[in-house]
Amino acid sequence: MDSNSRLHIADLVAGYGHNVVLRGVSLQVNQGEIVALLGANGSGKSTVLNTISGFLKPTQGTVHLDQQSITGIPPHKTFRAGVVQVSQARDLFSDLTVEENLKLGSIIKGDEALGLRQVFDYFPRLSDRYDQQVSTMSGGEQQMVAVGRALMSQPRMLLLDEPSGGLSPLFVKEIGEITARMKADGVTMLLVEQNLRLALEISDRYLILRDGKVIDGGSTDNLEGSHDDIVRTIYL
Amino acid sequence: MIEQIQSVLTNWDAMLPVLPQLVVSGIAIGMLYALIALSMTILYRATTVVNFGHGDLVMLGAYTLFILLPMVTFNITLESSALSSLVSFVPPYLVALILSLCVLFAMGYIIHRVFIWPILKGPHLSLALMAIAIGYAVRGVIRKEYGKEILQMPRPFPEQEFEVFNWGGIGTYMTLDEIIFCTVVIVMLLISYIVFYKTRFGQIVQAMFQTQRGASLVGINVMHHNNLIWGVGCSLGALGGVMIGLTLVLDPDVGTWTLLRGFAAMTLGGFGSLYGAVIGGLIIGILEKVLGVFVSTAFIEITCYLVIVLVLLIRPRGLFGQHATLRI
Repeated sequence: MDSNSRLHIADLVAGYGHNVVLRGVSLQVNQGEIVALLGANGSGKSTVLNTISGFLKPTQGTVHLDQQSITGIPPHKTFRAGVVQVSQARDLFSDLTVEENLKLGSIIKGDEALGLRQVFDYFPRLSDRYDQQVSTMSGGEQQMVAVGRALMSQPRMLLLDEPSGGLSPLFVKEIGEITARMKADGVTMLLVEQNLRLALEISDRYLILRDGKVIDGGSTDNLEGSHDDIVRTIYL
Repeated sequence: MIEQIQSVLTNWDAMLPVLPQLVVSGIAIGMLYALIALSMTILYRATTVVNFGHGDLVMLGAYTLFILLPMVTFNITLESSALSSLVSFVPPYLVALILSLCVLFAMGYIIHRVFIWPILKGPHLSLALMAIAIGYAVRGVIRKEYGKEILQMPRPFPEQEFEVFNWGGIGTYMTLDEIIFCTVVIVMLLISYIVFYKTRFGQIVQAMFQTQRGASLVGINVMHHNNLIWGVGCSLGALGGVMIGLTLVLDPDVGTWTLLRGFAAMTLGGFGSLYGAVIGGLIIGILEKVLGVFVSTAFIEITCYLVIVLVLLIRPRGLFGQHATLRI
């Protein structure tokens, strides 16, 4: 584990009951880096994020954040350590307003005023919808609230699970641009994404997961035109 | 039944003067139902579990006070005059009451942590059966100790009656019990309102009610807060139990009576709505009294069942239950 490492995972084994999903996953995300975790459905991508967040206890392996072990600690402690997840289902407080959702993002940790300034800077649209009930918003806007809520606590490590899932191409483009801005501002991210073009566009490195193991990976630099090889590695 | 309703309509003028008394008595008993419904709603808001064993925990609250009272009233001689009785008996009573609420808080906390939390993600049927089983276990322990004996709860204050207003020469009265109970319940409602709508704790509960996973994602220790809320809910229920013990009698089976009224108030007010639970309790209390006198005494027992059936048929989300609005 080098000193530049923000998140370091070694030999992670985890699953649901007797169903082992992760079979020795190892990866590292360095400070300020975006790493895309790619893989077919069922390869264990979301399970990796849920194990890091503490929703699943690993039966083996370690998870370190800035050289501190966060292996197997419950989600609220992982959050306090600085790891914040935006889940695929978003898990927003749908009957509450945008304001209430965002403020709840910093209820345990974080500077509320600073968080709101940052979120409105990334998502100006949310400041216009401040009093709107989240359940009445479109999928793309809800995704903005979910990412905004995660940013409210000024996380050290952001886990994004399918941020473009179910969104229109316009919103996918917008989410991509905002993620790139967040990276420029130094937010470290581990990204699970099915949209290969988006994932490779915004991330520094990629890792391919198959049957609960990292089977390939590399830098996303100079990948233009070679996506077919990655698709083959993922699915074949 | 139709004849009885016709009789009400024809004798309306004769019955009208007693209506204020019935409404006042209905509000007084309705306040108790409101407190029970409120305590059940608090549990529901935390874990979306309808605690079908709640009535027995309410009953346990009353019995705990009954058990603790002799332990804290040692060496105090009750005087004959009402005032000296009040002065000498109320402080130990308060101590016993506070201890009972603490015991029930601990019970609620432990019940959630040990029996509910491990199966919280399971099917609702399992949770309902677990709650019923806990309730029956509590009832069984009390029955084992006290049999089916009906006990009288010692009184902390004398039985007195006050005229609250007079309408055309016919007075409307409230007992001291009713006045104190109504005051206590109103204070509890105000505290609950402040805690659940104006504090950080209330925001956390609101978040957990929406989605427990979402609450975890913003760093809330869901299990700990659920434990606390179960403790608070059981304490509030115990307070209701003490009042029921004073109003009625101490009986191990009073839990079913309590649960039905609390559940009916919750159903009428709308699951998860704090003020709905209170208004539901008040409406049921008034309906019981008014229908019980004007139509048939049978309505005192069946009103809560009728309310549950009618609300579920006509407006399943109750008066103030939340309605999801989705944009497609």
